[in-house]
Amino acid sequence: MTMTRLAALGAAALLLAPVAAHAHVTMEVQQAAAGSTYKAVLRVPHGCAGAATLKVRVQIPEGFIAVKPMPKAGWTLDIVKGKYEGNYDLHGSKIAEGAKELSWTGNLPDDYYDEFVFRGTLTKAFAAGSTVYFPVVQECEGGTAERWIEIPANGKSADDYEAPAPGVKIIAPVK
Amino acid sequence: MLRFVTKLALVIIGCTVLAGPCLAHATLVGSEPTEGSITATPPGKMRLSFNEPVTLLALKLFTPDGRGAEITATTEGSDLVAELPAAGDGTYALSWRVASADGHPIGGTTTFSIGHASQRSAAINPSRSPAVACLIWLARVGIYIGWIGGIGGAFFLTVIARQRPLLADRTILALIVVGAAASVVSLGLQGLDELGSGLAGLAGSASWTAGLQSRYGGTLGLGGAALVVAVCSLYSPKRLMAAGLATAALLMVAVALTLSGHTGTAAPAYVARPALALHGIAAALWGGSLLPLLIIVATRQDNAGRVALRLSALLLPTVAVLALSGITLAFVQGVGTATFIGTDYGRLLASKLLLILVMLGLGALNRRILVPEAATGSSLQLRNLGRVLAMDVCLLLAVLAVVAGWRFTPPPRSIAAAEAALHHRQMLHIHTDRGMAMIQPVDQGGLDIRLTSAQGRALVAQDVQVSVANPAAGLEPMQRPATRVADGHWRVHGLTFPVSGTWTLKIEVLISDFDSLLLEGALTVP
Repeated sequence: MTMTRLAALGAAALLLAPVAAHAHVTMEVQQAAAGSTYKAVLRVPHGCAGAATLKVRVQIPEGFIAVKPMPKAGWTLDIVKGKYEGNYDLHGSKIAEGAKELSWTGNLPDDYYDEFVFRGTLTKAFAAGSTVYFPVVQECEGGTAERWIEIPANGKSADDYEAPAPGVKIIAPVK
Repeated sequence: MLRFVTKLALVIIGCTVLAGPCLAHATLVGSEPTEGSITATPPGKMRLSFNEPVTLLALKLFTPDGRGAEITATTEGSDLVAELPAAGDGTYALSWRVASADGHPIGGTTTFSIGHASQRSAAINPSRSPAVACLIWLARVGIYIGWIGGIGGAFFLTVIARQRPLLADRTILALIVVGAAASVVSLGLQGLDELGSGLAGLAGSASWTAGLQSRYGGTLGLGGAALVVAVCSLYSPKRLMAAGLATAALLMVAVALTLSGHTGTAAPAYVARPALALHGIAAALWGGSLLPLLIIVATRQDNAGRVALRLSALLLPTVAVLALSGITLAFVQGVGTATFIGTDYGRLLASKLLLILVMLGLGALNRRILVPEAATGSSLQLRNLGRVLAMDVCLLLAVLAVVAGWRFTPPPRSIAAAEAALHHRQMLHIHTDRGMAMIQPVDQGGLDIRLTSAQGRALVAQDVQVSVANPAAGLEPMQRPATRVADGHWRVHGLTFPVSGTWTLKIEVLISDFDSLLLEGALTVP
């Protein structure tokens, strides 16, 4: 096998995973440590079957606390706050409520790509090896919607689904 | 090594540039004819419109007979235009598989109908060949000719007419022979039908054995014995013995009728069976008298007028019994206003009633005008009576032909029962740890879906989408939205299954904006 062919194979292998995920709404960074601060960059590659995206809604999973969205020019931000199911400790203070849902309202034509950013803390409630999912609803022109909300059942992966929710794999906490 | 890394980097950059912008999967945005539409004439071609240019991978057209064939299509911008072969009425399914610009393959099935929608629905009867069906029907008509015409005729000749020409005896004997021959053939055909074999199966012993062992075998045996007794009555020298034998034959036929068939098995049996027996006796009395009376009248027998008068007196109560028992039978068979026109059984009943009404009209004409005048010796009215009787005989033959058709039509009550049983067998349960779905095929190509939560309560959902596919037959998924009937109860309309077999079924339940439940199972389409 020549070096060139080997290089091509390696490139193909490297590119294959991102290409398959290109059409889905995904997180830029797909793994993080429990107990760390996580900057979520939500990548929105397209609208709903050609229609422009007017709203992006993200459901904040239980255990992802102290969430703040990053303001975005041209987009109106909304934060739905509520009580968490559990109590969490953040730098010595108890936290029992916060953002449960974030939404950006604006206009993203189907021809364009955009990213939506928010930050929060992944508590140590997440076990290493598990995946935390951020279900996303993309609302578009004409009342259509794309729902990236499928959470893989046991023994299945996101690849088995048409519209999987963006996920972040938890790795062991940083000591 | 440095060269390798450089090359790797270059190839990566090259691939990335070539891959270009992040691409979405293509989506079907419309079709012409539109999904589920019914066109009056064959559309000639079908246009599938996508939101972006696509590459065709596979295109298969399924015709109403369930056969699939590869067809070709041309690309027009982001549309695919498929040439459809000229074809007959029914529902067509076009299964397509295309590659999006990002290389991701997507597939789907779009259906449309020409003239009317045809539905591959649950089959209640196993299929039988037209030749076998035709023979079964003919044999059944032959048996009725023997029972009604032969035994009823023997009763008329020996009990009512007494004095009769030899021609009448011979005619009745011929009818009995027809009945006996038809009984024998019918036995083999019954076995053939039960075994589901073709006409060639008559040569083997299996179908005859099966016929003998069937319930219908008992009916044919007793009916055959009745035919023999009727022959004996015709040849009996003593009048009283002849009358006794003919009456016995009539009663035997009445009992034979109740031994099998869907009326003999209807509930409650203590109503259905006597009603059927009385109906048979009355039919034989009335129907059996027509041909021999015609012969007596046509051959200008001396006693023609008197015989006609005697029969006329007997027929009024006979017709009353016929009508009452008939209404009772229709009732136990579950015939209602809806099933009268809506089922084959009801349509046959309607045809029979129409024919009987005409016969009753002719009977009234006979009774009021022709018979009394013929009895006084009017030869003109005797000739008219003969004409009316000839018409009656033809109508009777038509009635028997219609009644024999019931062999193929389950009565409304058993259609309902069969459908219930079939539905139960076809009911599909899908269990997950979060909820359960019960899916049942319903009429006019739909699915009835009941969703329950893990706690056993009705699962409240925002939206339900159903997708069915038959990968084995090469049919890409057909997606249909379900409409909400009540909490946890959804229904899909107009879902045609172009081919039979095992279909994969996916139900996507949107519980809340961010929460969905996917239920997967397999559905059998007979």
